[in-house]
Amino acid sequence: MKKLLADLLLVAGVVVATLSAAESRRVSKVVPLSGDLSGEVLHQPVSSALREQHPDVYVYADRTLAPGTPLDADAVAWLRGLGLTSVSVLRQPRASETLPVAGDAALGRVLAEPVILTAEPEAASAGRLIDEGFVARLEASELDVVRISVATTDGKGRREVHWDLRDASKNPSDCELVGAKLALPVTVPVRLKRGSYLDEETLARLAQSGYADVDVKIPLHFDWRRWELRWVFAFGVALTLAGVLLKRGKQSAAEVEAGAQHVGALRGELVGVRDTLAKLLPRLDHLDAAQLHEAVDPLVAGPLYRFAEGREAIRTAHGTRTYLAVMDAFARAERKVNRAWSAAVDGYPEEARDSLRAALPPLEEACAALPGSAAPPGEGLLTPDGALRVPPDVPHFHDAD
Amino acid sequence: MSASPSAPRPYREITWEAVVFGVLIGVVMNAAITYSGLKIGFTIGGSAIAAVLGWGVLRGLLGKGTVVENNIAQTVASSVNTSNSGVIFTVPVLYLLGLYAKVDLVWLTAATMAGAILGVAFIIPTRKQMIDYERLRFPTGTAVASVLRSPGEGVRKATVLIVGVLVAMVVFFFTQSQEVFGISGYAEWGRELSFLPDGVLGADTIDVGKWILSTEWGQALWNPAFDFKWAIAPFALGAGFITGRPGLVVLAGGLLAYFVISPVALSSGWMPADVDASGAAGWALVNMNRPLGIGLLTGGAFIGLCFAFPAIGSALKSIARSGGRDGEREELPLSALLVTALGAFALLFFAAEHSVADGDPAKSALIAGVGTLWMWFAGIVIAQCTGMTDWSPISGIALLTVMVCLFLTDNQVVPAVLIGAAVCVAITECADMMQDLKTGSMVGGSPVRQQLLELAVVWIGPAVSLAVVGMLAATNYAKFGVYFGPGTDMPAPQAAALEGVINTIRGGDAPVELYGMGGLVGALLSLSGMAGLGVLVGLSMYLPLKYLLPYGLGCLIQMLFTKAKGAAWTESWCVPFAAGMIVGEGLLGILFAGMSLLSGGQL
Repeated sequence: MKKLLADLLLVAGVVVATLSAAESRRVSKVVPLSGDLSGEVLHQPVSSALREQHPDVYVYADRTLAPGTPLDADAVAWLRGLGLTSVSVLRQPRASETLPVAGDAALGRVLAEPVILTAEPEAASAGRLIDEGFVARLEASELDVVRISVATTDGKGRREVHWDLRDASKNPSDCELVGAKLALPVTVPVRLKRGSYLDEETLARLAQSGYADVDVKIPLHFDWRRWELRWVFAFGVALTLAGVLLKRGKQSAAEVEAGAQHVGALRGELVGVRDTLAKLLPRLDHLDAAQLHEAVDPLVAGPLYRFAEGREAIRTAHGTRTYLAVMDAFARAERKVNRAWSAAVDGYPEEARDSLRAALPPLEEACAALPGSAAPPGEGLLTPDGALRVPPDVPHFHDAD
Repeated sequence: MSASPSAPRPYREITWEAVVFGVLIGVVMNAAITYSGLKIGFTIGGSAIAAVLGWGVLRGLLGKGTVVENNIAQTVASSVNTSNSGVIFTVPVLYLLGLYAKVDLVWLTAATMAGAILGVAFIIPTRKQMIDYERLRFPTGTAVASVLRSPGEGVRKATVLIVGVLVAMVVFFFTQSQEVFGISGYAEWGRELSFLPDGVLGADTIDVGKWILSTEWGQALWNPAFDFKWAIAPFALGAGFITGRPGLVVLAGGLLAYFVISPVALSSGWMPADVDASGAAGWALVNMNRPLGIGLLTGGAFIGLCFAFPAIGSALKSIARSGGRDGEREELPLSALLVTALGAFALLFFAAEHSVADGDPAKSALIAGVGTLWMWFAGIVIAQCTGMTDWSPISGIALLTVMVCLFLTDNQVVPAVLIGAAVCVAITECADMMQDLKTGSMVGGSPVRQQLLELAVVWIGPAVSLAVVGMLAATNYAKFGVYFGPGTDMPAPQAAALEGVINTIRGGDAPVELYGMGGLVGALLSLSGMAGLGVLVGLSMYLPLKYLLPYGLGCLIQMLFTKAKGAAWTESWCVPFAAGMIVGEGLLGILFAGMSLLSGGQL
């Protein structure tokens, strides 16, 4: 129950916090139509179709206000006439401002719209793909007609056509300029993209092309005090924190008991591997590569795998320091056993034997580090004939093979 | 399996054959993946492919290869290959911004090489923490280990692996077949299937949302702003399967971003009026989910790192002790790593000194120092994400890295991208080194040998990637009059995204508050005690949902199998199949990329 509540708090807290955080980037705000709306700009379209929602209101004309419409007295009166009491306006009424190119005013700002630099002609090769930006450059050039290559209607070949840049009616109706390729090289002016950064060099280029002013973007500044959902965000953070505290709270007695039992089973796995290896070592020199593989394979896929899978119980029961000490030694031993497996498979029994011998000391170390498992070598998991003995309470991995 | 030989032979591990094969295949993969990455925007890992080819060449052709020798070959190959994503996510932005003439190619190459070496040197001391203590899954590393172990796993398991490879290849083939061979694929089939609405079955996606909206109940219940496309991506399914239950958190973050924040933002009028349901997910990604996700990831990673300090301390002590233990060294000594890191830092310093406009040595030292520290932190973040999920947040970290570098250089793009490229190369190498070490751990490879070789060859990768980027830029310029981006058939999508972010930052419009708020939530999540929770939720908030969905499905299937057949059975029989899915798609992907490169983009 406690775990479920903690999870619910975490989920709810994260959803509330991230949603309210995302809201801080909203482009609009809702304002009452009763206040001063000078300078505000409509965010979404409003049409007289709204009259259906307010059949009792009749003082309005058929009309649609597009996004970006300034809310002057006439527009506000019309909106009120529709029965609206509030309206969504852009949070930042102006997305750009015009600044002089000369001086430092525009320095460090970015372009709000693309700009054609007529003083900078540039050669464009045949084969160049024509996108919308290049169309603007073509139209700003002195060219009247351009030869382009377009895909045939079956999509399998190409054909060349003349494209009139000044009179669209002269152009073939079955193809488009955007997406076509230049068939012949042309010279067109350079175009600075929207968002281009205005450093001193770029401003000088603009001046050279005859621009006295330039439209630059107005950054959207975040103001904590004006952020309406800041307390909702704080609430979301508080919910998340409550979930964290519940999750990190003390374990119940049942959880402690279950953890201790789990560690007991892990201890059995570890001691079993150690004992198996200890029994195997004296016989190593009599085993060939195939027999070594048969001996090692069940260890890798059985107790070593199960110990690694259940390792977190050690941290829970005995703390991080013990966990690290056990896992440090265990991982060294495991790698040696894995190496023995690979060497046996590759037909290098000497290497397999050396690796198994090298695996025992770190296994002993791991057993010593895990409280309660530093018993002397016992019967282990090896039967007298060298096969792996499986404890009755542990499902045998190879049963399912 | 051969019988015991009469005289002991040294076990083949580091051999000339393995190193030369690794370098050659790494260079080829690097060139092909750099090319395809500039076209499609994401890259393919090379470890699994190198492992498969390694068996073919080292054992098949040369009749010598061992499991650990092939592990060395794939380690070398992937370290040479991996740097391509760090390069193509950053360097092409200099072409897009028209700043390439201002870059000194020698210093750019030196900085990225330094980054590659620093990345490997920095991540080595955390091997014990991530692999031995936390035992992160590293699904691709696990898949590669399955390939390496396949000759010894018996015929039945090898068959399962091969079936997985073949299934993935067949499924993936039809995503590309129309474009590459003119053979009809899913998109054409989708148009012919009368019961499917048009556009539901795309070339490489299934638009389940569109199908739901075509039904009566769907129109009543479904929100058109829900982005519910599924990628036809066997690798994602396989990686999800190998990750299992922990991977579901990744799905949760994706659902939060694409099924909660994006639709709520649209329906509440938080987006511009011209954004409709089909564009809502894209707008929310750029303006809300990505900055929030990067914040969550960074905040979560920072707290995770603080929690990991005892483990990292223990790992460092263990490395310091390991020289004297059993006469065998497990890791490269810390002193060697320190010297390597200092050398690479010096290179980074001189690269900064050479590219920053005022050339102030103090500023260059600050840039190199903060860049190096950030490299260390970001490298750990990337390696942890890859270890937990197989997803690498390289694109998000690259954006954050360039933002940090712009801040350090007073908005000078050239040095920021130069240092950013070095950092991005470094962090990709961090993830690769750790994947390789995970594979090595599973097959009993020697970590110190893998580390030594990776350090010895890792510098080759950035040189190859930069050369390919330069050649493609020159070819494009000759062909189209433009280096990359609009006007060419090579849009360099990640670099184009970076260009937008650079302009946003320089225009004073960076969503710093969202990074901060995300960071706070991510830090809290990581305090919950669930390993990496903040990192995973943050990462998935800006990954494409179409890949997260099959990944999540893979996690669910693994949980079902574990419940029905037990963990050991699932590990033994299903993981090789899942590994085959990762390998199969990778093999075909690299084949297509290579064919496209060789044909000069005609395929």
